This record gives sequence, C-alpha cells and structure tokens, in this order.
Amino acid sequence: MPASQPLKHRRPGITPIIKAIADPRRRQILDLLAKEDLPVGRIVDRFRISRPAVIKHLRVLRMARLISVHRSGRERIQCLNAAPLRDVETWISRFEAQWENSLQKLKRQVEGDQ
Amino acid sequence: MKQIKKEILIAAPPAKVWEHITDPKKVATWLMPNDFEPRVGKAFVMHCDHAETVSCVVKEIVPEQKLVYSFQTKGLKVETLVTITLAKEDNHTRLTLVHSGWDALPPDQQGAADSFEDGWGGFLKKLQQEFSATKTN
Repeated sequence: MPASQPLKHRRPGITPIIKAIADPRRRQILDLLAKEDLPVGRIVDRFRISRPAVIKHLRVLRMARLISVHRSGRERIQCLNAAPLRDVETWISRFEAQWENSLQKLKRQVEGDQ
Repeated sequence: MKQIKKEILIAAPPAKVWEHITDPKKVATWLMPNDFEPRVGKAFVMHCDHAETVSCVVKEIVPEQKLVYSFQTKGLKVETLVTITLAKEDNHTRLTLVHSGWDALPPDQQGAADSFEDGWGGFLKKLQQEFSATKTN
C-alpha cells in the first residue's frame, strides 16, 4: 500500500504557509512535532491553552500542509511535514534573482546615459 | 533574519544614478512599469508582466543618497522593505539594495509577540535541517 496521500493534491500557495508560521504558538507546535509525532491530547498537555484553540492551530497548519495526520487506533497522530517550507525559500530566492537581473540592467542603463 | 542584499558599482556620479532610480519612466526600463513619485507617503504600484503587481509606499527619501519603500505583493500580505543607498566612490557610485522584512508578521498576528523564537528565519533553517536529516535516514 502506498504511503497515505492527502486527498487534495493541489499545492497551496505560500501565503498559507507564511501565515501559519507567523504565529508563535504554531511555531511552538511545529517545534514539538519536529522532535516526535504526537496525538492531539499530548500537544494540548504542553500548552496552557484550550483544546479547541490547539485544534484550531492544527487546522491552520494542516491547511498549509505543514502537518499530516495518521490514525492510530482512536488517536489522531500529528506529524510534521517540513517540505512546504522549501517553497518559501524558493519564493524569496526568486526575488533575489530578479533584483540581480534588474540591477545589472540599471548599471548598463546608467552607464549608457553619459 | 532573512534578507536580500545586493551591491553594484556603477560608473557614474550619484546624481545620475538617482535620476534612474526615481524617474518613473527610467525605472520602468530597468525594473517595472510604475507610478512612482519621489515623495514620502506616496503609494505607488509596480506592474510585473510575469508575476504579481507590487504595492509600495515611499518611506524615506534623502536625495542622491537613500530611497526606502515598502513592498508588498498582491498575494502575500507581508509588507517587506526595499532600501536603496548610494555612496560616491571616486568616479563611481556604489549602490546597495537591501530587501528585508520577510519575517514580518501579518498585522493580525502582531499581538502574539510572546514568541520564544526569533522570527521564523531561524525556525525555517531548523526545520529544514530536520527535514534533510529525515530524508537521508
């Protein structure tokens, strides 16, 4: 059997990813999951916030594809998926390449205007 | 903190370079079509034919020395900052461009400042290390 695939294959843009990691609480959750996969209850135990609040954060992270969920008996195990973070890096480096290109054009333009 | 920094040496005096980074027609040919005006507070847009429109606001102007504007693409609601500085070097101008603020929080998240992480730049790196470690195992 192939590894469990998300139902939706469409890749979300990077805005949901950046929004997801902009929240310190969600970064804490990702930090926890970077160490080990955890059921929802264990994540709730680590924070002084309510279970619904944690579930809401998990939903945002799931929508950004930063976590995946596996069932183990009655528990829903939350697992980190760091791959989408690469899209953010790629997106920023695209701007870097554009600036490089634009500044070379500027140099030629200014030096040609003497 | 993640930022983009570019330096370039141009064989022309700062006054000439300044003209090319503040005259909208001249900016259009090396960067993007735009409705820029050299006035603090001026909101302008830059049109990119192969990517998203960029919304900007002029933040600071020091003639022939410094130009700062905010930079936000339509899709991504994170306001970044572009700072261009000019410095005279003999018969040349050293232009430095810094594009920063990639770790800025969206406005609705500003209250959540009890972060133990210093922005998501370091966090990103950490997670990526984690990711590559699990890949090679």
